[in-house]
Amino acid sequence: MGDGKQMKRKAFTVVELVIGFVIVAALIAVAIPAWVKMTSDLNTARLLDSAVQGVLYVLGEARGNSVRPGTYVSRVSLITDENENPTHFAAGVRIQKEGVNKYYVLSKWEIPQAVIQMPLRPLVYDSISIDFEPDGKYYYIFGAWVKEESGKNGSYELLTGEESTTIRIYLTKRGTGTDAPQRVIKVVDGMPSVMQR
Amino acid sequence: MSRKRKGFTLTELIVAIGVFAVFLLLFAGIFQAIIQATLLNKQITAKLYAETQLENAFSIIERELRWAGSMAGTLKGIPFVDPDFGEGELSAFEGKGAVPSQDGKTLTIEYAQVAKGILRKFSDFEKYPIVKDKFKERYPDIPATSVFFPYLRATALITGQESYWPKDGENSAPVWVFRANSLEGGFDATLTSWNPESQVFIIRESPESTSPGLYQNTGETELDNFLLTLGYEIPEYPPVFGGIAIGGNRRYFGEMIARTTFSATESKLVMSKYIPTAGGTITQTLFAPIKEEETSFASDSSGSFIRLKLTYLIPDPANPGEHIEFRKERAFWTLGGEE
Repeated sequence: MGDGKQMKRKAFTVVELVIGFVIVAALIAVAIPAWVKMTSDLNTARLLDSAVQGVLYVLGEARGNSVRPGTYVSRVSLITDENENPTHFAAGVRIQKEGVNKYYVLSKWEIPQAVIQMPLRPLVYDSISIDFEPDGKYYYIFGAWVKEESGKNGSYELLTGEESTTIRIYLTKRGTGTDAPQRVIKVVDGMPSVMQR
Repeated sequence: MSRKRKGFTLTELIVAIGVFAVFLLLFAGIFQAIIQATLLNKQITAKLYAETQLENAFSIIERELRWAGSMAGTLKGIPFVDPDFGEGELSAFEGKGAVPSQDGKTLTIEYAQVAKGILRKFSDFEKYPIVKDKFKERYPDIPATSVFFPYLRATALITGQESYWPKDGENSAPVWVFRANSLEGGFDATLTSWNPESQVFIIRESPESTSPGLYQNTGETELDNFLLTLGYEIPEYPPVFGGIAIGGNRRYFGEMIARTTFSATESKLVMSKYIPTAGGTITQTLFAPIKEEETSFASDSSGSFIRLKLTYLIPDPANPGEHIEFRKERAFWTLGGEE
């Protein structure tokens, strides 16, 4: 001891330390937004996928009921506001029974409170809307996809081939129409399918 | 004298790398588990959806096959009174049971369900003086020539005037019937729409006619001895059903007379249903996508069952653009196989 053979480990210099912090800061600056965006995109995708599954469930159930004994019609429509405009959509499905026939209403989705209270609340909080194109009231009758004829309550038009229906599900606060994050379901000849983007 | 910085020993380095590697492995493992769970969840959801749609398709096929070949003998070359064009014949309507094609890609059936009532006409009022007297007493201003009563005694009779009966505009939709003079064997009949003028006519006092009946006015086209009313799918909601425009001049109200073809085409399982009373065809995709080459209809030796084998596809979430295949087989009971 005290013979000069004991070696001390050299500490980092201030410059080294600053450089190190800068590198770490740069990495964080790049990584965090990327991570946030990825998380946000995943949440968006998950919300839209859930909504799509909800709509597909409604359509499948409605078609099934329209061909089972004792039922002949299943209505699939949007709740409209006072101005007859479609309101926000959601995964929630309201089923009402009138006699033996059911009809399904796609309506506003209250995003679960648990999701809203997550740390990423500003990133996932949104509302999901749905549009039927062309606008109208749609039914499954005897398994066939039909549209109520305008001005003729109770009369229907069979939709086949070119006369397909587009169901657009999108995040309302991220744009409108085709620029918002969205999923598209197309009902062609009665068969609903998710369109690949 | 230069000073050397002390480096890490090899052991220290290995331990540090080891700890870091374990941490990375854990981190990657968690991410991999999340991704795998998400993909599996997507796959399960897609399969559940496909199964639901397939069950719907099977329900439709089962419903059609239930009546395959019914009224087969009568349907062969049956005269058809078309409301638009007068009397003609149903082209190539042969009353087939379930007939798979040679290659098994299509299944054709033809049927007519007569379930809502068989009416028999009293041909001559003079033979039934009690009925005649009671009728005149009750309806002095109606010059009826004949009355149809249910062939099988009934307490109620569908007339097309019921509140739940489908509406064609302001009026009730016509009741489609088979007219025939005999019900023996493969009898000759005419398919026609019948819009009875009457309300239900009931004479409970008469032992011959305790069932309700429908009268026919003088001046109406004289009908044959028997009317077999075709079954509607009676709507219960909404109360006014205006029918479906399916491409012909008339509307479809759910009459159970049809020539239905199921086929595997363009990666779809398709149902095409020609409805003579509406003069149009309903074409619907029952399921998609399928592998056409692995889809087939076949009847068993007894002709009582139709076996459908198919391979359907769902998207593979792990490999975009690829599909996962599932095979499905279902046997359907049918009223009549090929005659």
